Amino acid sequence: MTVDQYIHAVLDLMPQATPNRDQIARELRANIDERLARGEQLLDILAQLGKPARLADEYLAAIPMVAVPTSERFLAKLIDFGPVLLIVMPLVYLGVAKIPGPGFNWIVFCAFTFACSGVGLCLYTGFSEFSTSRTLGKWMRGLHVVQESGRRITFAQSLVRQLPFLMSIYFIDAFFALFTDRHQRAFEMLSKTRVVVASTQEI
Amino acid sequence: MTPSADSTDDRRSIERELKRGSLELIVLHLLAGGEAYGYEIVSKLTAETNGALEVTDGTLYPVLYRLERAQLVTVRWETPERGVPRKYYQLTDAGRTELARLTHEWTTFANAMTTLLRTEREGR
Repeated sequence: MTVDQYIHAVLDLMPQATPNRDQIARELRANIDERLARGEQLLDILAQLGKPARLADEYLAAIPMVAVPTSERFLAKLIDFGPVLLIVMPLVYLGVAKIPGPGFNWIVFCAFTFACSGVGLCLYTGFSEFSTSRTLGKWMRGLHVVQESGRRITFAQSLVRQLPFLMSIYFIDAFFALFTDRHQRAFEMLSKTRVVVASTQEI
Repeated sequence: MTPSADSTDDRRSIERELKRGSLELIVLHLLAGGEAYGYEIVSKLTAETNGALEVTDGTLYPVLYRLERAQLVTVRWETPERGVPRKYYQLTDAGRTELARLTHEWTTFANAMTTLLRTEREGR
């Protein structure tokens, strides 16, 4: 493993909102360079630092995970819904307008808009939470999604988080967030993920 | 696993937990003498304890990160024209207060343990 690969492996486990993420990388590199300059072997240096996952967990343990009130999450979801609707609506409109028949079919338009927005929101949320740990709404409300250990979520976890949307049981799933200690949805508990306040305080 | 392996693991675990619990105190104490960078802190600890206490980089840096986030230390980077850049850590006033608090806690605990163990030994 090279120095770059090691540092990348550590950072890759940390959510993007991890405070001083760049500083961590710079410090690790400086430490490795310092030891290399003193004639130590790279393998020994990396062994001293430990496995990337363990090191990432040690860093992430310093960041408190503050549960988010359900109302905040609802607001974030509402914000996410806006842009998706703005993209989906014109496309569906154009599609429905091409259906032959007398006049514009508003019922079909509404049904398709609802269905396509749901799928669009689900895809956008899943992809965005996996790649950046947050969506537009979560970013605006200062929230992000992490594993229960604080690590960045995996692709599989982001998929499991979206299952209730696809299974049309979102409201039942979201109901759990009102009563669980950490305000977790049922599928969040299943995927071992949490939505927490993003501690972005850079020092 | 054999019983001896079990007891060795237990002993290592106690050492690890003791070290982990006192690591912030150790680092704050080492920084009380003046600013230092990561490698220097590790070397100082080994030298001042004749190797009895050692800490790996993988344990030290997350502790420094915690201290920095808690604003118990401030940092500055020094990038020499030749050589590697170094991140220097320095105690803040809050850091000194925390050091005094942790030192008091540690001393109380250590005294209590010493008294307890002495009583145990004398009782036998």
